[in-house]
Amino acid sequence: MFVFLLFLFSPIDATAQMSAGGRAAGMGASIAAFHDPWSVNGNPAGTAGQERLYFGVTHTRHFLTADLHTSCIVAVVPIGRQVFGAALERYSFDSYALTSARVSYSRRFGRKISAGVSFSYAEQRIVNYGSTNVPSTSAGIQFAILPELIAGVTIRDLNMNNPKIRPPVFCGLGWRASDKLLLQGELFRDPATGLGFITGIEYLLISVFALRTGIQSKPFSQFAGLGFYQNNLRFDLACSHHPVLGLSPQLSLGYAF
Amino acid sequence: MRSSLLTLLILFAVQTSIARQTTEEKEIIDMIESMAEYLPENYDLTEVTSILEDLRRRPIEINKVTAEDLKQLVFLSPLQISSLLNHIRQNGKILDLLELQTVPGFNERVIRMISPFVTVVERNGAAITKFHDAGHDILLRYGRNLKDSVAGAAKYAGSPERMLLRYRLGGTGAWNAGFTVEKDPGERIFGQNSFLPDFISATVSYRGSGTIRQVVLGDYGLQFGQGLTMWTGFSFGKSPDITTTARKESGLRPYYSVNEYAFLRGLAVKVRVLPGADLTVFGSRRALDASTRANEPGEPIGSILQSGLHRTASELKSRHSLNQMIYGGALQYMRGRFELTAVSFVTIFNREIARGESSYDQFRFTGRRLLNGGVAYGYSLKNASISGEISADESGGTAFIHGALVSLTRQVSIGISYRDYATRYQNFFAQGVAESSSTVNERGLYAGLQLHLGKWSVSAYSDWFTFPWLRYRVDMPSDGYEHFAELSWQPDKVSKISLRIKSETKLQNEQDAIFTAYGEDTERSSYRIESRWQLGRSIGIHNRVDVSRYRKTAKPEYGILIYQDLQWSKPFARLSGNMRIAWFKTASYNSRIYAYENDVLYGSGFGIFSGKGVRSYVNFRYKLFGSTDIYFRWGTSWLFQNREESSEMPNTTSDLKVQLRFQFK
Repeated sequence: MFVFLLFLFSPIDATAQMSAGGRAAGMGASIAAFHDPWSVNGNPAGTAGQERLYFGVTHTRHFLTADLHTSCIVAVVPIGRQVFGAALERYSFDSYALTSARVSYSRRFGRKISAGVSFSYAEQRIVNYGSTNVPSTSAGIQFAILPELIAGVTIRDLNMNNPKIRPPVFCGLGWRASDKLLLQGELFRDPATGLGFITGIEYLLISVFALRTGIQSKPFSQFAGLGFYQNNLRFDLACSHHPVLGLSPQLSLGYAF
Repeated sequence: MRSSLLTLLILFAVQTSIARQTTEEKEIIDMIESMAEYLPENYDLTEVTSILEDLRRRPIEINKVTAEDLKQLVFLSPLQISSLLNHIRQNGKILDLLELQTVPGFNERVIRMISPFVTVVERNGAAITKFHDAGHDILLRYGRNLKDSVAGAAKYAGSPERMLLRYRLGGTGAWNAGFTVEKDPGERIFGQNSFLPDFISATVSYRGSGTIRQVVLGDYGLQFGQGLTMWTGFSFGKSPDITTTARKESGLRPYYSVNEYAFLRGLAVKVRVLPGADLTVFGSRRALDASTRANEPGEPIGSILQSGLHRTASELKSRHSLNQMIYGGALQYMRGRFELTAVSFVTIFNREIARGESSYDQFRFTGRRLLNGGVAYGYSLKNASISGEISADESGGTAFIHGALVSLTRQVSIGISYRDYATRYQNFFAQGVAESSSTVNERGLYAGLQLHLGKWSVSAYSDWFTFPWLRYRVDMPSDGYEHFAELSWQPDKVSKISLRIKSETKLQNEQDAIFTAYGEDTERSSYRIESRWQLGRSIGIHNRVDVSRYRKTAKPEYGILIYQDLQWSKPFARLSGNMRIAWFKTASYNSRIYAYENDVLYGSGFGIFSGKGVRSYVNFRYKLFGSTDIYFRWGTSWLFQNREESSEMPNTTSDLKVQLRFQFK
């Protein structure tokens, strides 16, 4: 089983394991036009405009297996108009581990445009085989076509050791259709899977409780999630369904100071 | 795609003259076309359109409307029905249809669609049973292919013509009656050793408002719940219109159509047993076409044939060789926003039914008798409605579907449903929403989204499905998915441009398997751009470019179809008509393209295009006098390059149809 999983997440794919937080995960893991503290791991431009110090942790259990999981902590520090972020992530089972550290920087240019970059350093370690390291860079911008309609583009994890490997690219639209409703639509091109799309919906049922759902086309997976907001505390629960491997629940907790 | 007639039928149903094609008609045509993809060839849609046509003649009084009435309007969602009823309850009578804009879920587009079928005028319910108000409607049709292949014609017992006679009596609101006689191409006019035509259907029905709600003697159809237990005739499958994912049961209906399989024959009565609760009791006994494996007497039945064709010796031998008897009942209860339907019935055959020997047939029904039962529910609250059905057969096979429809804002709605039809589920009348053609051996999750943003609209859905057991030409449990997205722009009431993408991937046996077939993902996609507009008052223009893509492991292959339609009509003019010229080219039959074609009123025909060629047709309607119309249709196909499957086919084929319709009081 684990050997199989190992093939499934070859080093290129491994970048796709990054946790963009329980909120994005509930909406099909769309990232390009997403505005969230967890964008440190997604489109770094999505952290621009954050006004408060944020700290969050997330944990994903993949395919309900006993020990294959991802854990991540993230911090977002706004200083004036500039926003700094950091994330530390570990994706592992007993004989395999992918650990990455990431820092991001973003800021707004005027009212409509924000941009961001992030740098990460990942180490892949397989027991009895040794390890390898990869530094990588991500960059993205977001543009507010209308106050409620945001377009975003991001290039994720350009491999610095071997820049010829084409990185995945994500282009998306985020539309706040009403105070309660957020829609996300995204196209992505991943060298491993080709062209695909993501759609996601978030609906605020009551002011402290949100329902989310989403779809990703490659592999064809469904997502669903819940979010609770209590003062400065945010709690997100998400679950994705892979057509072959099954369910992966994810839990996130965040606090804004 | 396979919606040829639907389109035209609805068009006629909506407006008996094809004079002006107004917006609401186009809306309905678009909707029906999109819903009709899974219809079998030559499907007669009278059962759908006759309802709309009747409503058009005798619109629903909106201030006295019931949920049952509104369910007849196929384009309304359960949510819209519930909010309209709620609005009337809370705010009193509606004085103008424009007032509907304040009802949640109703926008300008919905109001345009609903307006031909409802009225704010009250008829005081006077004398709805008067017989002299009755309208008579006689339809006579003759059609034939002009260049039948000689080999084909020789095999058939009868002449190559298609003939149809239909009579309907209606318009009193209470009493309705009708009969249909028909012969398909290749069939004898009169059956073997008899003076009766090949297909005869007749029905008399009464609709009342007292204890006895409805009585139908003769041919009828039944549609309950979500279609997992009892649903005959037309049904909408997966469609871009998310509102149709939740079925709206129409209960008992008289049958006027020429489809020779999907109906019941006998007596059905619907009575009100308690306030809000109706009981329908039905019994049916009819002969079906069935074949046995070796065609020997006494042998069990191998399969029930649905085509209704009796042209060759073996088709004639199968004709009416099996008797089917059904009796049962359905209880429908409705209170406020809640509705519940329970239905149960027994199917009895006079001969043993056996299953096939293939592995995929292993869980099919075998025996003479089958008991089925199911419970369906629906509930609406604020901006959300849920509906579903659970159904079972006597051997313990089950099927269920549960779905929700939520209108998130005025512009955005979503629909989600999950279905699970067991491999061993057995029912001869189940027609649930499904990827495969039968309601068995399937699990699926459908999610749809609709946006209405002024002149722009977007609809999209994704459906993921899995088949836990083998299927025809798939020697292993398999799965697949389907995506659909459409963007359309309507700059004004008569113009529309739309762009659509549809892609489906599912597992099939590999092509050249020798002993063991492995699965291969087979992808079928279509890309379409389409526009309609109006030139002056009397000419309508419609064109479409359709590109298909087929891929099975190897390199993809493509097909293309381009067509141009022209419609001309003037208000009050005697003559109106439409024509098409289409050019197509596909790499093989795999990348074939479907396109609906306009036809004579109630006629049917859609094109399946493969190979390389040109297709053209022309339709005329001429008003002879009063309410007598004559219809004429001529179609020709030129094939420059034959598709490999049918090398027998001649390179040029033509078909002709003439039809007379006479309406009087």
